[in-house]
Order: sequence, then structure tokens, then C-alpha cells
Amino acid sequence: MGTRMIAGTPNGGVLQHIGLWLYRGTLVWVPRRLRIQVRDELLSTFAAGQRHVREKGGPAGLLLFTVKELAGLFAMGVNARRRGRWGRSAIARGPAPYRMRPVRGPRRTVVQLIQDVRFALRNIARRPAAMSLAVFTIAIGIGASSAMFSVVDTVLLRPLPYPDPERVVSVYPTIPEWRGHQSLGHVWDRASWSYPEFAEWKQRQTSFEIGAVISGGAETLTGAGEPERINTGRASWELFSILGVSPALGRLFTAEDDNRTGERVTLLSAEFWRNRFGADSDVVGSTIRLSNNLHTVVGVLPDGFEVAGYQAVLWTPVGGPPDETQRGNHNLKMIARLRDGAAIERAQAETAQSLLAQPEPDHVVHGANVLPLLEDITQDARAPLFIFVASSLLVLVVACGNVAALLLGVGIEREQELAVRGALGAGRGRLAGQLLTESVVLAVLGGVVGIAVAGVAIEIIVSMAPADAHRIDQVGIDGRVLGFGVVMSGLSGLLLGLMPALSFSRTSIVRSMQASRAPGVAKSRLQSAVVAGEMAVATVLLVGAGLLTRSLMELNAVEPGFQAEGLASVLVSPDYGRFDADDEAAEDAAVDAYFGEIRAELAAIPGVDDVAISSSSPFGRSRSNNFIELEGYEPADGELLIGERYFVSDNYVNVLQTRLLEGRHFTVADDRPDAAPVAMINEPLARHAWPGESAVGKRLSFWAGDFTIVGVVEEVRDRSLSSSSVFQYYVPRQRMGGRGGSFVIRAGGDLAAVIALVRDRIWSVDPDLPVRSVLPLRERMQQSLAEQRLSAQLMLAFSGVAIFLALLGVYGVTARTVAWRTREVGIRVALGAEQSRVMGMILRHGVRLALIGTGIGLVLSFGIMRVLESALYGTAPTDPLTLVLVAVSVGVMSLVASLPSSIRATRVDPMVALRAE
Amino acid sequence: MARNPTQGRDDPADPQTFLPLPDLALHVLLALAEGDLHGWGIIKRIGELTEGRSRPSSGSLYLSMVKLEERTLITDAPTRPDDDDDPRRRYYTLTPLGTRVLEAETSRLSRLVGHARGLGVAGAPPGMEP
Repeated sequence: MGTRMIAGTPNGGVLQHIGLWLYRGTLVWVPRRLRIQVRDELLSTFAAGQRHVREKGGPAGLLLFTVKELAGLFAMGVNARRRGRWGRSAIARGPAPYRMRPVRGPRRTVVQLIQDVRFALRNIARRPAAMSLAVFTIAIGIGASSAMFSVVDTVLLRPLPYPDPERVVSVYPTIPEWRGHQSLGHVWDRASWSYPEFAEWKQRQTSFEIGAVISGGAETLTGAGEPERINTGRASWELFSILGVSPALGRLFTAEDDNRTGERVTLLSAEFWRNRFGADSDVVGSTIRLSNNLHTVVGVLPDGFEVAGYQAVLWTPVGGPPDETQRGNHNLKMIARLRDGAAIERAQAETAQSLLAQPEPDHVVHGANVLPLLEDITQDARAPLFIFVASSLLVLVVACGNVAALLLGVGIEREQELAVRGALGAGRGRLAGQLLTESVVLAVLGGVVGIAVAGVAIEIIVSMAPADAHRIDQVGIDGRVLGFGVVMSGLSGLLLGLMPALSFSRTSIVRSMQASRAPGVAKSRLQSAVVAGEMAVATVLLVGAGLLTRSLMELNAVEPGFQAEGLASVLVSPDYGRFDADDEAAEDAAVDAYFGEIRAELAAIPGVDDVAISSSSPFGRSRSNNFIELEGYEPADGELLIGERYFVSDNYVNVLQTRLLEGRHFTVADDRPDAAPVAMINEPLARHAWPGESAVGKRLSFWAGDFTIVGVVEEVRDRSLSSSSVFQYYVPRQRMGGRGGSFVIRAGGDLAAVIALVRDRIWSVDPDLPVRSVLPLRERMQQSLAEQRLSAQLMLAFSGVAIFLALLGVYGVTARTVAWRTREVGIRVALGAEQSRVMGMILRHGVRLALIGTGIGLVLSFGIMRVLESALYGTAPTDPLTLVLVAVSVGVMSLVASLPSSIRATRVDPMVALRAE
Repeated sequence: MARNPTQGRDDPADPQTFLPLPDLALHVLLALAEGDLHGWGIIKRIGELTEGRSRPSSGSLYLSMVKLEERTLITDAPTRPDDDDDPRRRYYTLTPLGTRVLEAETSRLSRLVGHARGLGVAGAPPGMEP
């Protein structure tokens, strides 16, 4: 989706972005004193030019403009230097007599270094093709790893923007018996608080300075323009002091506000205040209507206030006087500030004690979990992000390997040059130092371009990431990322330079000067080993990408338990407060009439076959779990029997086209307030409770009473395509008061055309009903796979780059082999070797190299891929199909990579080859 | 740019010491003679003045402008337009010296052109076509 978005930007927003980064990078070339003087203006002028050219000339014009501007900037640097005013320092330029005097001490090192760098630049300029390839290769490695570092740094590492952020913690009760449970397992160590529990905790604890509870919510805002369903937050007054917030306007909550009997108050977020109230400072003291209750605005929060991912546009107090009836109402999250120097373990033990001392109606709490807030909110992102960082570093390793092989090749050709310089008196250390300098200069150039690559990569990654990911909008290139890039460039440079430096400074001068162009066996072996190593690393990445892709395909192929084609769901947020009546039955009747009217309107849209109503619909996010009891079923010791419940209209299962496995569907007669209580359950629940028996006729009980099971349906994958064997049950909605949050539309005609009409039809019934979303179910399913898709795409990108580089390495090795073995090939041809044999010789060399690397990579994968296990669905980490596919494709690709060289080998003219020596 | 950078400093008041002006410097002064402009504005104006034949890159423009400013031919404009959107921008204006240098250079050039016409190697002045 992201890539499409970018590719679809017709006027080249990305191009503009890349251009700006390249321009910034090139600016570094302008002498510093001059640069400081004009940097801002140059950037502003360039940006203005970009905008102008983009409007006039489109992407092509923009590209031309950018190239011209970069050249101009480069020329500016050259001219400024030549003029001497802004050029190098006097030491470097050095008057001639000074340069001839022998230089000693530390100054000598500096002078040598400068000489080496200049020499390196000249050398690089002398081989523009090979060296641009090297710079570009390193740039990709640095770019990928810097981009990933930037994401990890922003999302995971940077402290939260509160005072003493390391003391801000999340505090959870833990319920070990939930562990491994299909519905509750994921929250066993992050259970919620009820308000009385929190109030008691406050009295008992000593490890914390202060604690606060918060929860998310939604309210309908009316009375000020369009009605709007807004996300709100509830917080006890302590929250703002824990986070060290001061109000932009008015005041924050106080302990008195936490008294439910007082007037209702609210705090606005700065954004809401600007957008909805035009930043009017008179807003403090005024009232707004939230879900039909008047609230007095007491203050406005500062810009950018955010806590634990709650996207609240306004906050209301959570508290109230101690009310024991709320003890079982667990819906609060606690954030607290540890006392200075307090140990987390002690805080945890103390909290557990406070919880254990409290009466528990619903479940038994066994302990507590205290962890830093940052760690808490990024927990799910941690593992995947570290895998991606590791992968991007592997890409860098492959890139370095590639450049090392390239340098080895170049170095082999330069052996004679080095030998001559040695003979003229250059020490081995000096020669090694010079080789090292060359590779570091190369790596630094690669790093500069790499930062531009990172800028582009970040833009792509951010556009693909889920929009609500923590701080994802803040990811960008800052000083820390630049620092990372610089360190990585330096390390790569050292890594690159070490091998040739060591190997060449050992070179015997005499041997090298005598030798023909053919290199020593040891050196070409070293080069081959490097390429095989690249191949091994690339294979590991390829296997990872293959597994994630396979897993994504499996997920896409999952039968969701309904026919998604032609199905759309509509999520609405009715304000039930308006139906308030003294008589409950009358109220239910009014609600039902309301939903019935909307349903009839929707059903009248041309192309719509049927419309169902449900309390929750697949991939609609809101779900309800209830404890259930089943007739004749004894839960195992400690088993918590929990089912996901759906209050549905009689045709819900039909509209979804969920298969009926046993019994019958609901009928219109079942969906009446006074009808006999019936239920349908899903197959996993039936099989679990009554294996080998019919579930029809048995009884299911939950808080609303006893229900007779009339039918068994297949399981509907509701929360995600990967979650299976979740117990589900359906009850006709009218018995339950006729509330429902979603409409499901089955359209035989054009679904998009139907969807386009939905909102207007709903608003024709109730112009105040907030419609949260109208989407085809197919799309909701795709959205639920966003993370998996991002993982697979990132891995594919990384492995694609790595394998491309490794293949380039194979190509390089075979090309050099042909060059060095010209004589041998010539002799073979002269002696009558057939073309196919000569070709085969080179092809074998390339493919064998690749397959050795791949073999090693596959073996490594066996061990490494276990880290992916939790991210995979329906795919084993050692999935044979993936492994075979990887091996075969690497084989084929390496064959292709060796082909050009092998063809060149057959064209060797024996006479020319022999004469060449 | 100016061939001899020390000349101007000897007698900063004498416009003659700045001549001849390099093309780019002349273009910049000409562009500013019509009103205060910022960097991209100058580039655009030069493009118009030369009928699109010359549009300097930002790099060469600023190298030239830094020199012109040091030699006090141009300076910061006293006011910026109200709708200015980029705080990094600076607006430039001609100094009195800059204006005099521009006059001196144009009269030098027109003398040259007149001379060339006398030799019959340049076209007739505008409005005097046969």
C-alpha cells in the first residue's frame, strides 16, 4: 500500500525528498566557513526551485534541475577552494620549502594521513565505474541499517518526554491461571484494575511517589456544530503530575474533580482546542455536551501531550468516591511514578501484597507486574524490530563483503604498483595504512550517499507501518542516525580495508614485479571465499523472507468462516442515552425500531441482498468475552470457560454465509424479545464440550440466563486470520435489548457503489448517528494483515538487495577469473577445447561458489529461523518447500550471473591471449 | 567574478575599480535593480532577463553573492514581504555603491556596443531598423 502510494505520487514528492537529502549531503563539500554563511539560504533557494520546477516541469524537469543544482553546488565547492579564501588550512597546503623538509612527530602522521586521503581520492577517481559501484553498494548497506536504526531509536530507545522518564512505570495485576488461555492468555501478566482496587493500593504502597489510573473511551459530542464521535480518555487527577504536565490554559484535574457527585469537567487536547474551538482562550469555563451530559472545560493540555498511545481528544476524570459495586469492574490501566531509588522488584512485591489482601469476586490475582512505561507500550514491536535491525546489518555485511571482493580484485591488479612503491622505499606499514585509508574514504563516501538512501527508505517504511505504531510519525534522520551512519561507515571501512591491507603488505616485492597478471592462488581463493560468505548471508535472509511470505500466503488462504466477497460491514456508535425511558421494555422497543429503520434503509439500496445487525462483526475490533457454562460439561481443574458472544439478528449467519454444520438457523420468530431462549455455538466449542455427541438441544448459560442450543456453525475468524479455536456463541439480539454496533451488508451487485450510498442512507434516518467506518470485509481482513505484510515486504527487500549484491559478487569473481585465466583459456582453445567446455568451466566455477555459500546459509538458517517461529503461521521454520525453492532459485540466479563471463571466455582468441603475456 | 579582488578595497567608493563585472554579478545586480529579491527570486529573474538562456544554480549564485555582499554592492533588504513563507530566506537589495557600479558597467557596455555598431558588426539600436 505504501509503495503504491509513493509510486503514485505523480509529481515526485519522493524525488523532491531525495533531492533535498542529496543536496544536503553535497553541501558538506562546500568549505565550512562559506557553508555556515550560506547554508540556510541555499537550502531555502533549492527548495523553492524544486517547488517551482515540479509545478512546471513534472518529475523529469525536477530530476534535471536536481542534477544541475548538485553539479552547481559541487562547482561552488571547487571554485571556493581554488580561490583559496575558503580552502584548506595552511598546514595542508603547505608552502613548497616546508613540504620538502622531513616532517616528524604527530605532525608527520597528520601530513601522511592527508597525503593518503588525497591519494585515495585520486585512486578512486581513476576507477570511476568500479568505485561508484563500491560507493553505491556501501550506501545501500548503510542506508538500510541507518533507516532501521532510526526506526528502532525513535520507537524503542528514545526516552519518553516526561521528567525522569525511567521512573514512570506501568503497574499491572497478573493472573497466572490465564496463562496459555485462548482468549485471555495474551493479557495474563497485564490484567486491569478496578477503581476500588486502585484506591486501596494507594493506601498501602510505599515504593511509589504517586499512581494514576486511566482508560480509553468514546463519547458523542453534540451541540457545537456537527455531531461527532470522539475518542476520549479518562484519567485520575494524579496522571498529569506523574507525567509532569502543566496546562497550556486553565488548570488540570484536582482530587476534587475525581468526585463523581460534583459537576462534570473536562480537559481538552491542544489539537482539539485549535480545530474545534479555533484556539479560543475563552473556552475555559464554557460547557460542552458529551453523550448528553454537560461538561465544564477547566483547561487545555499542552501541545503534543500523549500517554501510552491513548488517542484522546479530551479527558474526563476517572475517579469517584469508593464504591464497592465497582470492585469487579476491571477496566483501568495504572501508570505510576516510582520513588527515587525504589527498586522495581520491591514495588512489584508490594503491589502484589496489596492485591492479594483485597476481596476478589471474579478472578484471583496472584501477583503484580511493574515495568517501565516505554517498555510496556513497545513490547509487541520489540522482537520484530530487532529482527529487522539484525537483517539490515546483514545486508551491510553482504555489501561490505561485496566491496571487499571488489577491492581485492582491484588490489590484485594494483599489486605491481604497490610493489614498485615498496621498492622505492615505502614501508609496509605505510602501504597498509594507505590501503586502509582508501577503503575508509570509500566507506565514508558510501556513508554520505547512504544517509540519502536512508531518508528514502525511512519514508517508505513509515508509509507502510501501521499508523498507530508508537512514535512512528517521528521517525526521521537526526543527529543520532547520522552518528550511527558515521560509525557504521567507519567500521565498514576498517572491515573492508583490513583484508587487502594485511594481504598486500605481505606481498613479496620481487615476486610481484616478476609475476604475470595472474594473481596468487591464495588471493583469488580469498576472494571466492568472501563471495561464498556473502551468498551464505544472503541465503539466510532469503530463507527468512521466504518463510514470512509463505506464512502471509497461508494467512491469505485461510477460510475465514464467511464469504468475504460482496460483504461490507458498517460500524456505528449510537448514543443509547437518547432512548432513556422509565420502562425498560419501551426503551428496548424504541431502540429496535431505530435499528430496524436503518436496516430497512440499507436494504433498500440497489444491489443489496440482505442486511444483518450484530453486536460485533468480523475484524471490527470490538468484542465481548463472557464466562459460560455448558450442560453436562465439567471444566477441568482451573479451566476458565470463556466464549466470545454475538448478539445478532436472525439472518446474521446467513448473511455471512457461515456454514451450518448441525441443527438449524435462527428464525424470525427466535428474534423477538419474548421468544424462547435459543443459541448457536461454533464448532470448536461443540467439539470441546461434547466430543462425539450432538450439541443441539444442550444448554448454554451465561450472565443473561440459560439458552438452548439449536445449531452449530463453523468458526468465524474474527479478531485475526491466525487466531483459531476460539469459542463463539450467538444469541438473538432482541432478547438482549436489541443493541448492536454494526450492520453487515451482503450485496449481489457492485459493492463499491453500495458502500458509497451507506452513509447518506443512515443519515436520512438519523443525521446525528456517527458512522465510524464503512468497509468491504475483504479490506478489513487485509488491514488485519498489515503487520505481517510489512514484515514480509521488509524481509523481501533486505534479502532482495543482499542476493543481488551477492550475485554481483559471483559475476565479479567469474569475470576476473576469465581475465586472469585468459592465457589458460587461450591454450585450451588452441588445443581444441570445445566452446561448451570452456563455457562450462566458468559456469561451474560461479555456480559452485554460489551453492557452497547457499549450502552454508541453509544450514545456518536451520538454527537461526527459530527466532521467526512466533511470527509464522502454518509454516515451520524449517519449511522444506521454502528451503528447496531458495536453493533452486539461487542456483539458477548464479548460473545467470556467471553467463556473461562464460560467454566472454568462449570469445577468447588464442593468438591474442598468448601474445598478451 | 572580479579579476582582482584587492582593487575594490583600495578605493571602495570608485565604481570603476569593479569593472568589468563577471556576467553573473552583472545579472544579479540587474535583477536587484528592479526590486528586492531572495535567492530563488533572483535566479528566476535572471532566467527572464536572459530569455531563459541563463539560469544559474544556487551554488554559483551564492558564491557570487557572498562576494558582492562582502564588497558592499548588495546588502540585506530593509523590509520583507508580508506573505514570506520561509524564515531561512534573506532578501537582498542594491547598495548605493551597487547602483553606481551597475550604472558604470552598463555605460561601459553601451560604449562598447556603440563602438561595435560604428564598425558595422552589431545590429542597429532598437527602433532604428532601416
